[in-house]
Amino acid sequence: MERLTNLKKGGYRKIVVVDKTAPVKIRRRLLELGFTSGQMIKVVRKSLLGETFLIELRGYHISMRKELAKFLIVE
Amino acid sequence: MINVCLVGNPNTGKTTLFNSLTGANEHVGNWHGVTVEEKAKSYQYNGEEFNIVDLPGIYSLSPLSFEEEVAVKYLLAHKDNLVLNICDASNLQRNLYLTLSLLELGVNVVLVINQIDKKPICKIDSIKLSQLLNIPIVHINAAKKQDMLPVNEALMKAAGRRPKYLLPYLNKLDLSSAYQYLPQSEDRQFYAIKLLEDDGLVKEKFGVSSDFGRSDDLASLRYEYIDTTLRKATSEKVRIYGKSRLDALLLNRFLALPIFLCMIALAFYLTFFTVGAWLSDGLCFVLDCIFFSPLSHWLSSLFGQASWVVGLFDNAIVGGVGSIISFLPQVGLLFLFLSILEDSGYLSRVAFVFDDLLAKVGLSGKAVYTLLMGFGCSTTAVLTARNMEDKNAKIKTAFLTPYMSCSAKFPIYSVLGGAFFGVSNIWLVMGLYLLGVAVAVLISFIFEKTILKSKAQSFILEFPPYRMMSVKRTMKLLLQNVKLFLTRVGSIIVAMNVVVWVLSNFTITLAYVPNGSGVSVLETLGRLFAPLFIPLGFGNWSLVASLIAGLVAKEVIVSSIAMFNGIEGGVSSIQSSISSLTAVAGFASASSMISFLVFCLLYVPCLATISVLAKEIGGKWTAFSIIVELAVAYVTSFVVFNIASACELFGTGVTLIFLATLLFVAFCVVLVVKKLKGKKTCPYKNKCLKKCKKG
Repeated sequence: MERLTNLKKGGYRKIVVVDKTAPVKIRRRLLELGFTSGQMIKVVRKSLLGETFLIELRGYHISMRKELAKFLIVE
Repeated sequence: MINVCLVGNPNTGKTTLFNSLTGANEHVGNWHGVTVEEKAKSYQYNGEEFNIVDLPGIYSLSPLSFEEEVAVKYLLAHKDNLVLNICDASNLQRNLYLTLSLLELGVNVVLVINQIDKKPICKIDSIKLSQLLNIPIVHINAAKKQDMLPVNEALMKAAGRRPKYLLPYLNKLDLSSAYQYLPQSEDRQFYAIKLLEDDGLVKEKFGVSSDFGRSDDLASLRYEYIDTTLRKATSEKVRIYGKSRLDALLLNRFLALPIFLCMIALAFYLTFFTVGAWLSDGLCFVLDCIFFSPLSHWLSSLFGQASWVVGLFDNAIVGGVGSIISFLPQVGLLFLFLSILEDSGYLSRVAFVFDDLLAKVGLSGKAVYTLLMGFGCSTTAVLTARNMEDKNAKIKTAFLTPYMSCSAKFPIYSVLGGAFFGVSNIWLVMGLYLLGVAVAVLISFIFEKTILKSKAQSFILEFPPYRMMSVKRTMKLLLQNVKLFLTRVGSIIVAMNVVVWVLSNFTITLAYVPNGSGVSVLETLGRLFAPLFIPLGFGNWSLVASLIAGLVAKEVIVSSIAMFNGIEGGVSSIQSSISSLTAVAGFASASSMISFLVFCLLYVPCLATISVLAKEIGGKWTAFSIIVELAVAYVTSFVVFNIASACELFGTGVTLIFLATLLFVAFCVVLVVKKLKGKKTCPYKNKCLKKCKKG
């Protein structure tokens, strides 16, 4: 088990859970966007300083900061 | 009358559909959150009147940012309305999540599947999908007017329906555990679901304090249901939405910044100095030949050369309006380039790449959109700050927008700078634009460290696919901008010019005093404030008066300078009569002119922007922003004037060396102070400890 923020780019990983310690609103939004457990996701790209992530999920691309991406726990 | 709410995920084409249905002309773009407030319009179809409301994009009925809250609140307050839910055909899976939330709410839904991209990502059997979800579905392209027929038909058919939706996944939830907190009502099921999801607003509404912690299950169940439904009604996806090979180049860590800067510089160069300038010269010539000159001759033959009517026409209309209307091509092109950036999908990538750089100064990557729009018009740009999730970031972004040099300020730089520097004015203008950005970054940095610290921002941004702008849309946008510009010139600017002309040509006792033959009202006023500006190098009443007039609209600064100095006949004559301008307008030298331009760049924005700011960030922040703007403008102009004067006096080289030495000394002092301070308390103490622990 690892946080998404520790991943290098490329390679699909399976989501285990959205961190239970995340604020309720943020947690709900991540789930709504489709980060449900069992989904395969991939870090496609990182930004200039490597602190914002572009993630592939459910057939689309979405970007978010490490403050948010760190809540995604993958296998 | 049938009331309809237009609901959907961000950037799925709600406003496009709204425009196609109603014939409205609301702003659309390939970006997340262009629409930030509800907009309503009615139209007739087949004898029935439809009143349709375009809402900002949402992901679910639990809002996170300000504009989402607007949409959700509206929707919950108007549950009887027909809901026109729009989904992007290329991202159905995610889009249908919202649809399910709407079905849970039990509203009357008509689903529009919007086929924006020509090559479909998968084949969709909309009839089958309609049967499975038990809602009417139309599969169309929202940009096409002829596709509105089935939409309207579906709306007509669905109106008045009281649908009951069967959502099988709800049986797997223990809704009864939430029911005990809720009174018997129509929406009981919806609120029970929201309680299970621990929705803060709903919990507050019913005074529930316990946590249910079922949002994981709900999200999984909804997505499972969507997946099984889509497997029956669509084919396999052939590609990934928003993925493009171009990204490897445009988002490359080392190339992204240079590519972005090159694109901006190119757009800037084309707009202001080559294509735009040629068109502008042409327009100037044509207007003068066929319109202004003959009309002026005709008026003087009618009223006599010395009449005030001729004075008003020559100065306020020809000199004032003429000098601004010649910038029509440039302003039109600028807005066109901004729209191309917005429509192409590149802006989301820019926001992503620069997000962490912007985070360092406490801004979100999304601020890129607002700030870039600020180069067009600050008034409309300030509104878009709403799509920030964090309140502090919203205030900060709105606060900084006026420092982006808006299109109305360009004529000032062009006319005054051009008069002094001719072709090399391009460097001055670029410098001014960069100065505005630099000041904004600095202020943001200071705010981040002091009064407006941004919370860790969520920054969720989807990548839309790259899209080319169609010729039709380009032409439409151009026409729209030309129309906007002409209306603005024809209304507020003509009016302001007439006011300024009257104030500068009549004394307090209402005597007509043309060409400075007496002390006019404006001169009295200008002389009052002029001494304040002597340290900045332009303590001249007419310049000060033009700055005051510029509060209404920045374009008026150029036109009133032209008026005060009796220069007639638009921009070309202003540039040719430069010698008289420097003498009369009080620009003792190029440095005082540069100082004046810097002041124009940084001082208070126009009244329209101020009123929008007051609405968006409150009176207190707006008042503070005005004070900061005046202070920053004054100080920066003072510094720039003195540096520029020194350059003129001692030569550029000597001044630069002197400044560099000064900077070096200052840097050394800071270093020494930091070292001395460090002996008492080390600012890196925590980090050191962490390192030690790790080591």
